[in-house]
Amino acid sequence: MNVENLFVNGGSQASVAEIVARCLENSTEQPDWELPSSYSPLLVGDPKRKVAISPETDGWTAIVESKEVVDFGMAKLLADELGGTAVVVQVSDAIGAMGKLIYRHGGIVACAFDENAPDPLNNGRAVLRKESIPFDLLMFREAVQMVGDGWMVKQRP
Amino acid sequence: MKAGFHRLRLLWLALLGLGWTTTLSFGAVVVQSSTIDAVTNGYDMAGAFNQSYDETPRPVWNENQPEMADEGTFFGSTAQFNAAKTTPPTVDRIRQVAQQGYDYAVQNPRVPGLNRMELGKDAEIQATRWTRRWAERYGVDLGPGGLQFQVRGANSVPDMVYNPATQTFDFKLTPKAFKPAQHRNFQSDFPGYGIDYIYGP
Repeated sequence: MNVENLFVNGGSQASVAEIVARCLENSTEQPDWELPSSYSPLLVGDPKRKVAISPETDGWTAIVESKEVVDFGMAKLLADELGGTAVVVQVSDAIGAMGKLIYRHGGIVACAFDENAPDPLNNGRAVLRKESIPFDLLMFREAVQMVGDGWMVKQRP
Repeated sequence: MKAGFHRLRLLWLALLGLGWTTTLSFGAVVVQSSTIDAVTNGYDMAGAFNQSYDETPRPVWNENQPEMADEGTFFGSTAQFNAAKTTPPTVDRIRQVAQQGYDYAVQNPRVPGLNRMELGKDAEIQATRWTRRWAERYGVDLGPGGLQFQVRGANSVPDMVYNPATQTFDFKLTPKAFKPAQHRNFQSDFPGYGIDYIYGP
């Protein structure tokens, strides 16, 4: 499994969706976070870019890009505007790596990228458990299948 | 002289056999890290690449395999040779197509400027698509009774599962990405299934 997921708290699904829509319309400024970023090659110029947004669950909302990478600018904007926390989890079984970043109140609380993660998928899940995030790591196609359960999909206009 | 030549030839074939294996075998897999480095550092040189990430991948499997020149050496009759040539076990064909696709995809990413993590993912996506299209074209069943992609177990998600042969496959950019914990999770999530790792070139 090779995915990057974003989770935020502090806002409703509607408020998250409004900010996501703005990020899809206008490119975000990328913060200098010490995780590998694929925003420039994969997201910035993608006319088909889509973002799946979960219903709010226990205060948390999951955000899954169609390319399954995270827009760090969007993550920062969501946390700043909602006054909450953004959690980024990167899992790459292809290279055996796991990355995590927790951003809260304008600052990075935790950031690590381990290219020798002993079990990337379950190491990533452990981050979610530690932060009490009630979601699993998801692929975009799995998120889209849950549209009937309250998930929504925003597309670049 | 002739017997010596034959022994030499058998030795050479045995060596080739080792080189082709994709099953987890530390002794048999050779990592050409220089190739990976060249690929991961050389995206910007691929100036002609301006493909959409979602663009239909180009087929890479060879549908016109050359004839074996000396099949009579290994097969008792032409019929035997033709049967062996055209009906290898489906699981072997899947493995071969996936390996060819992954090798090609690692060396030809659809987008320039990918980091290693994204290169691994892009190659997995491309190889998966090619394998799926190959399966559709050659009548390999897809779904729970056949070939499946990204199958969720309790603690693992192998990239491909071929149920009729109880075989799982997982793409790895290099053998360094092999993780014993993940291997154990594959074993417990898919008991009785074989596990093949398909490594990049």
